[in-house]
Amino acid sequence: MPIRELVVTYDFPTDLHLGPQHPGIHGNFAYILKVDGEKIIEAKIVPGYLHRAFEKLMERRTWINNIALIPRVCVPEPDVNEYAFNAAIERIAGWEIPPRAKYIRTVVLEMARISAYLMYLASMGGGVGVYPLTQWAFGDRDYILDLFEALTGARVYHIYMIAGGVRRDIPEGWLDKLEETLKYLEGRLKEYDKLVMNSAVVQRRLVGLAPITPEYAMEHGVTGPNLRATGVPYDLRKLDPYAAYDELDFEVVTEKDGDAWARFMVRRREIDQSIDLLRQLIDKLRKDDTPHIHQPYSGLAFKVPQGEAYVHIESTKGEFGYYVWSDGGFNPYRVFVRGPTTSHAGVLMEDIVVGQELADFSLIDGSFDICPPDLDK
Amino acid sequence: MIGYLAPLRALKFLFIKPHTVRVPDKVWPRWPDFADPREGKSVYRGTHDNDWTKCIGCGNCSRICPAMAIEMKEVPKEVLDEIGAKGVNKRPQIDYGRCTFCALCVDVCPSGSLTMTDNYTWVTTDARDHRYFFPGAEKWKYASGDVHTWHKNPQSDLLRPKPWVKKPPQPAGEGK
Ligand code: SF4
Ligand code: SF4
Repeated sequence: MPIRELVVTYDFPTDLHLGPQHPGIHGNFAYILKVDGEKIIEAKIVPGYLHRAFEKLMERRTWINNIALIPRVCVPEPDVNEYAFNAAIERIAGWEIPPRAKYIRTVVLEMARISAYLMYLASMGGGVGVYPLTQWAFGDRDYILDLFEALTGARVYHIYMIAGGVRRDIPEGWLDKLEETLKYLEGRLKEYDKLVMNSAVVQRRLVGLAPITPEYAMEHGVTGPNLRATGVPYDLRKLDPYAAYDELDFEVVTEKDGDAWARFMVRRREIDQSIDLLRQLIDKLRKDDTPHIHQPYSGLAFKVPQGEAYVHIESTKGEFGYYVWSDGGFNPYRVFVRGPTTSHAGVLMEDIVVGQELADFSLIDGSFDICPPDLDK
Repeated sequence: MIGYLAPLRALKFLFIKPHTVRVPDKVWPRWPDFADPREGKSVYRGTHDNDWTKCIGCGNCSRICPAMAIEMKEVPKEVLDEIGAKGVNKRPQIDYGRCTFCALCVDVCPSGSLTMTDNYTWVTTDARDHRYFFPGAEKWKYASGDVHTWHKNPQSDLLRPKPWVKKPPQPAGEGK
C-alpha cells in the first residue's frame, strides 16, 4: 500500500498548542496555531504564565528595595532594568553622577549584551540543529558570568546599580581579567563563524526566512536589532546617548535584508562591537579616579522629589523604557515598563508567521529574540 | 568556504579538555575524588553569617530587606551573656525561601556583624533548618563557610552618605 494512503489528512484546520513547555519557545509562553497540514494559517499568543505584577509591586516598595526586584523583568539581560530605573531616579532628583560610575555601568551593560547575545546564538543553534553552537555559546557565556560574579557578587541578577552609581568599585585586577576574557572570546567567535557562517545547512534555513521591510517593521513597533536588520540605523546608544556612550566611538551595525539571517548577523556583529566598546571603556577606567557613586542620601530609605521621568535604553531585545513617577515619597507612585517583546510577540509574531511552515516556527520565534518575561512583567 | 560538512569541524573539540567544573564533594560525599569545589569569587554573595558578639539586635537588616525575609528572633539572654554580646537579645533569622541574596541587609548593618560568605551549597536532612537560616547560631555555623566575601566596607556602606561634588573643569585632569 502506498504510504500516502496511510497518512490521515484533515480537510479542516487543526488547532495546535505550542508551549508553554516547548523546547522551541523561549520561556513560559505559548502560541495557539491554526495549521492546515504543515502551513500556519493563524497564530494567537497566550501570555500570562510569567505575570508577577512588577509594576504594582514596585509601588509598594521603597526606591532602594526596588533594585532587588527590577532585574527580574528581563531574565537574560537584567542590567538594562537596573540602569533605566536608577537613571530615572537620578533624572527626577537632578543628580549628576561621577564619570567612573557611568563607565562601570556601561561596562556592565555591554557585558550583559554579550552574554544575552551568546544566549541568542545558543538558541538559534538549537533551532537549526547545530548543537555544538548551543553548547559552546552557553559554555562561553559562563566566563562572562564569572566576571559578573567577581564584580557584583552575583552571576545572573546582579543587583549592582543603585541610585547615584554602583554599589562597589571595581576590584583589583578585574580589568585585566576582563581583557583576558575578551581575548579568549574573540578567538572563540572565530570558531563559531567557521561552524555557522560557512555551514550550508544554517544558510539554507535562515536566508530568506520571514523577511520584513523597514516600513513594515516601523509600523509594527519593531525596535532594536530586529529593526537594524532591515537597514534602519536605529540604536539608542547613538541616537539618545545614555551612560558613557557619548564618549565612545562606534558605528551602528545594520544589515539590509531583514530576514532571519540578517537578524542573526546583526547580533553576531554586535558582539564584536561590544568587545570593542569594552576595550575603550577599560582604557577610560584605568585613567579615571572619580568615586564610584554619588550618594547624597543615607540609611534605610530615602525620598525622591516630586517629578516624572522616562528613560529609554537599548537592550538586546529592543528598546526598553521605564516611566517613573514620584510624588515625593519613599516609594515610586507609578512605574511603567515598556518592554520590546510586547510589540515583537504581541503584534509582529501573530502577523509574520501566517503562511509559514510549521517547522520554521520556532526558528522565526527565536530569530526575533522573543523573550516572554518582559511581555508578562 | 560554504559547505554541508562545515559543522563537522566541531569534532576536533572532542579532544580538548572540558571547561565544566566538577560538583563539589560536599554535595556528593559518596564520590570523594570529586574534591575540587569551585570557590565563590572575592565579593560573592552566598549564605549569611552573623557575628553574635558584634550584632546589637537593632533590626536595620529586617527593615531594609526587600523580600521581607528577615525576622528578628529572640535569643535567650544567657546565651548572649555567655559570649559577651551587647544590645537587644534578638538576632536576625532569614527565610531562604524568600531571600534574594541582594546583600542590602549587609550594607545597612551598623555594627558590620552581618556578612555574606562564599558558600553556596548546603545539605541538610531537616527542611526547616534549610529554610529558616539563623546565621550565627551554632547549628548553622558550618553552613556559613569561613570566607566572608561580601561584608560591609566604606565603599558599600549605605548608612554613610557619599556625596560627590563635581569640580569645575580644570585644564589638567578631571575633578575628584
Ligand atoms: S545584623 Fe546588623 S542590622 Fe541586623 S540586627 Fe544585628 S546589628 Fe542590626
Ligand atoms: S540578602 Fe536576603 S535577607 Fe538580606 S536583605 Fe537581601 S533578601 Fe533580605
